[in-house]
Amino acid sequence: MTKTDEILLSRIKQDDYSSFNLLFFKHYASLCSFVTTIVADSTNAEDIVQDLFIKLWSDRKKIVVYKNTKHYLFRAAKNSALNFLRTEKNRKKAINRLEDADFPQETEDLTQEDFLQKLENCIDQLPERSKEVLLLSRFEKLKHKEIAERLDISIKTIKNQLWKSLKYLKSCLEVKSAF
Amino acid sequence: MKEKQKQEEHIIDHLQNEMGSGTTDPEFQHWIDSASENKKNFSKYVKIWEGIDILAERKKYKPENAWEQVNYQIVKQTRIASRFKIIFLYGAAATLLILLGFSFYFNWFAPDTEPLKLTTELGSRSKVVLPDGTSVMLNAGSELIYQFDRRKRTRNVQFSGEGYFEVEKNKAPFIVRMQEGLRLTVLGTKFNLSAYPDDAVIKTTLTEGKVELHDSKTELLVLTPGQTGSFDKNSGKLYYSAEEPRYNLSWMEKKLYMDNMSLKNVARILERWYDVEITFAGENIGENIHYTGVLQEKSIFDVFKALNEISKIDYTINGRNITVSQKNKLPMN
Repeated sequence: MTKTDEILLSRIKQDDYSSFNLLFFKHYASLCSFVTTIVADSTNAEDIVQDLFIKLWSDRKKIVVYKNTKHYLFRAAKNSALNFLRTEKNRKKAINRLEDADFPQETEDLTQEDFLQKLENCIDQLPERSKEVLLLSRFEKLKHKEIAERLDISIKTIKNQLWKSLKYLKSCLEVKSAF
Repeated sequence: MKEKQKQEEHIIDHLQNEMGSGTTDPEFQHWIDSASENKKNFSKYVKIWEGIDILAERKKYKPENAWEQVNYQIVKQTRIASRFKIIFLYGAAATLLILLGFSFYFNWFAPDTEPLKLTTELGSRSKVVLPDGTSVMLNAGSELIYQFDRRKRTRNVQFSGEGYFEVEKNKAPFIVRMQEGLRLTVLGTKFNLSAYPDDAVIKTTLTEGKVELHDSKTELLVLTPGQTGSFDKNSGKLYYSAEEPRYNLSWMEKKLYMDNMSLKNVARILERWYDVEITFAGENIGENIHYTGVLQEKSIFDVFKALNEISKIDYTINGRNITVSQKNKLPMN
């Protein structure tokens, strides 16, 4: 069902705009959050990632990927982010915000990325009710009391559901050998 | 066992209240330390919990909005690039122009916009919007290449598969080319077009406006709403076919209307819709069995369950391979 990035990229090289669209939707958010760790500003990060994809499309014929597409995207994003920081003004701003934090290592980040992608898949597979509770609690950041009111269930049930989800996610991730 | 259960449940409280790997609850700490397995599991739960938080944080990046920006920039750049080429060539070809005249130059050198290729896999459908505003619902296993021809001022589409087109009204004719030199010319209309390379017939059903279906020679059909025009690849003939228009549009709701349709033809459609391979065990099953009715099932499993109930077929599903055989005749007694 999910097409690998490599297939998408090879189609993009043959001018397939819908594959380009798919690749964009697949990686936009994760690249933005990665670039934010470097430039320390999510608005700038979004601009950088958008420019990266615009360039990817206009240079699509020239792209050669040796390893894998995700590595390529993350490396390109990192380079763009570092280029962005070359402007003195931007660097100062970023350093002020990041203080002495090191730039993330690519490989570290890719392992993390793999884990997150598997986690996302596992969340998708959760039973409907458990997923709803988890999303309201962790994504919408609702309090147990608010969830209880909205879904008309007890707080104890919510806790049970969360615990069930967590156990499910653990075994799902173990199956995908994500740890 | 009871004790284990109780302590494990603390994990959720812990995760919600105090992030990180330490804890202030001595009893819980004791549980973690009491076995290396507890420790390992606990660290996995922490990792999951933190991962969920990162994913939640990412929700603030909205690819939908960003895509509009990116798409807009790309379309704009493509236009600028084309214009730039015209100006550049204009200088280079100036002397030629004096001799040959502007129209000749324009005909030969004006670049087209870049072709745009859209495909759908077997087993999937998708709705796409072309740069001219035309929207197309693509059925499984289709390919569409769109290009605006500046020289002839036509909107050109190379097409195979099946699609429902809502063509945006525009002075530039919209021309769809298919296999066997067949082409459809329209201005602004809505129609369904089925042109799979492995089907014996190409057909188009008009729901609004007017279209012309041309063969590779000079024959043509003019269609009015509700009419279906077909082309038989074997005989090479164009003809109006009497068909219920809504049957030909029903694929959009994933409904298959069968009007005395052979099992062979049903199977070919199911292969596309569900991305499976269907083989027949036994001679002439595909040709001998015919169906009339509507199929609307969620999965290929349900489809075959339904077919099995209404006809004399048995089937085995093995991954994406499906083998169909004749139902064993029970001895009469």
